[in-house]
Amino acid sequence: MKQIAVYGKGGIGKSTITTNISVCLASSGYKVLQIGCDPKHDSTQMLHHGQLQPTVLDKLRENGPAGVSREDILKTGYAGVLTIEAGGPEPGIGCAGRGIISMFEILEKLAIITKDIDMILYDVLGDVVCGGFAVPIRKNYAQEIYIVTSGEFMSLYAANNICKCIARFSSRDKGTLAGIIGNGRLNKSWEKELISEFAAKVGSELVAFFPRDEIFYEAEVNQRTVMEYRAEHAISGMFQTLSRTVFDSPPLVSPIPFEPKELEQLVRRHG
Amino acid sequence: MDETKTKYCLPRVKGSQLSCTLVGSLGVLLNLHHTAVLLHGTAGCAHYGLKFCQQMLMREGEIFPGFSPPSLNFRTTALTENELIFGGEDRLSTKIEEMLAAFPDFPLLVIPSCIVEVIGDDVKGVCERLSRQTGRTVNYFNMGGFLKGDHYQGVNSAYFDLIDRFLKPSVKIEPKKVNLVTERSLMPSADIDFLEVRRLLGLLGLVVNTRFVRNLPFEDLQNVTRAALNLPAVCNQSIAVCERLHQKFQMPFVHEGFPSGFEDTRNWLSAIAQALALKADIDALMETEQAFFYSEINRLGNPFNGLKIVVNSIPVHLGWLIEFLEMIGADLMEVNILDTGYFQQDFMDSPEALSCPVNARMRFEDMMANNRLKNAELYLQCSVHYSPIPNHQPGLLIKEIPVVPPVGPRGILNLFANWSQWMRPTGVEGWRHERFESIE
Repeated sequence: MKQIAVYGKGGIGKSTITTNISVCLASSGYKVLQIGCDPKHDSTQMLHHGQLQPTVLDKLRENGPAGVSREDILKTGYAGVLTIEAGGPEPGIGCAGRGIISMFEILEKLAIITKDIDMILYDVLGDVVCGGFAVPIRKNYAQEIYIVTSGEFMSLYAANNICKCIARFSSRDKGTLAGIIGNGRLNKSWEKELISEFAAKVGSELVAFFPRDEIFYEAEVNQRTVMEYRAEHAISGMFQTLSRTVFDSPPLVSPIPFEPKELEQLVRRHG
Repeated sequence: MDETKTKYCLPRVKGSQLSCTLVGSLGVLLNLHHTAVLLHGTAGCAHYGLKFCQQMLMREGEIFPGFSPPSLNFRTTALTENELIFGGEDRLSTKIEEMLAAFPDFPLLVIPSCIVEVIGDDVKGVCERLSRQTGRTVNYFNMGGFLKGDHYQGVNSAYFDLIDRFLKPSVKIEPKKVNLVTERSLMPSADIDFLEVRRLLGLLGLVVNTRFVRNLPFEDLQNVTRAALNLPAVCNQSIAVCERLHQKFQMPFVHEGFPSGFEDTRNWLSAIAQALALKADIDALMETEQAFFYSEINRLGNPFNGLKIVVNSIPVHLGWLIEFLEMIGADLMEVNILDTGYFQQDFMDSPEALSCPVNARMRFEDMMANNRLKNAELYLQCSVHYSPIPNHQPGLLIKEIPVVPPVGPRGILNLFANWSQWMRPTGVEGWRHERFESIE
């Protein structure tokens, strides 16, 4: 079993990329589980054609820890992808990070992570804002981390922060950063080059770059993943390639984060 | 955090054994009578806080007849993991409504614990909303648990909140009335000490206006500012509260805490007389006190006269003890101070004036090895509750030094009686335990 986590700035396309990878792998015959670790609980929405599934924390709130069952929280989406949503409190109250920790405890208690699952993908909230959202990075969960970023400064800034967190939890002899996934937002020829340079600078590599394309919007409006909506599209082919890369495991590194000034200089040089 | 709240507090030291601000503030607020207290936090915090207060009062069965237990109008929201994740505001609202219904005649005091601060519940907002909706005042105290410091900062925070929000300037000042400020309410001796303070004040023709806030009805908070003078109970920490009262209401105060022994008492009475411009012959008063002291120890017989004594202590103030041992004719052989790392205050006014050695001991083993060589007849040691010095050593006669020194001449006399009881062989005819009540 392989477990990966996908991190990145809020709204950068983590869920879109994660769901399409899940569909690619499930369509290839693998047993795939996608776990949304975001209070918005919309990571797996496209796998259920726009329906939001009940969350682990909803059930925890309704029934208490003893009243959460496997059937309550584990659903099957498009292409047979198994899905779980952590959920969380209403915006502005409570502690979403603690919610993520509680969800992992419940998953362990219900023995949901079984050896027959080939791939688990954790789709984690925009940034590692507290210890709760770092749980997937810690050992025993995701062994490989991917960071999604565009060429925008704030997106790279968030990616760099995530690198700091990964470096903190990486062991000396074994890193956990598997690669950077570029999601083009700027429609500029230099965007891919910028992200590629960022990846190299932190000691990793750009494993895929998705240019800005209307197909993402169209698929979302139709409440489908790109893989389901237009399997023959070039972007779908790129997802196929990325899913093979993910499954085959690129070399893992312990990232070397930027100093803030260095990051500014990098962006300025390209912009 | 208001800096003045921490001004006289002990520094936070790694490994210190101080409790959190929540417990410190509970120790103050539970002393207010005619109130209902709601702790917004986990059941564990409530249990720990309440038990700490109770056990401080009840340890070793030292309950004074006037003892009153902490308020029983105490409830908790008993937060569980669900509230930590989803927020505890709904539960707080429900509990406040329950308590307002259960205690219709009492003001409600809401105290949040640190976990509530961590998850960001808007406790103040909930209290204000329910105050508007119900027409009853729901009082919010911002304590913050470990986020705001330690026990002493919790004590000061509670006092400052009471001063800032519930005290009003008095139109009339009573020239013969004084307040006792921040008595050590968690000490079983607080009410015994109060009797002695009241007796001493009576010698100057003064009476106690309020005990701020020992056993004080909530409605009497409005009377606090009538007093002509504030008397801090403890010389360091209580001063911050007295300063706040001075700053807000121009109330004068003396800078000495409640006195222990004769020299302290003389200075304390002089300071009060000076602050209130009283004409009092302090020397004559003290002569009378000393004469009574000596007549009583002679009447009881003095088993300490010429007794070889070693003092083992953590570095707390010991000037009163040295004076006392001299007065009863003890042979003080040695003073050992065990460095515990967090008691920072001067432990003795002038150790160089002693004829015996004063040793700083870093290890308990060094202290005990040395003690055995001295062949002392009695070892006086700090309370086992506050120090790592065991009070049960085979072959050694050991008595406890109270960490909070007994107040006034009568307090010292009570200590003499208590220790004497243990120095006498059992069955000595006519011997009985004496309690020197400080009643006028």
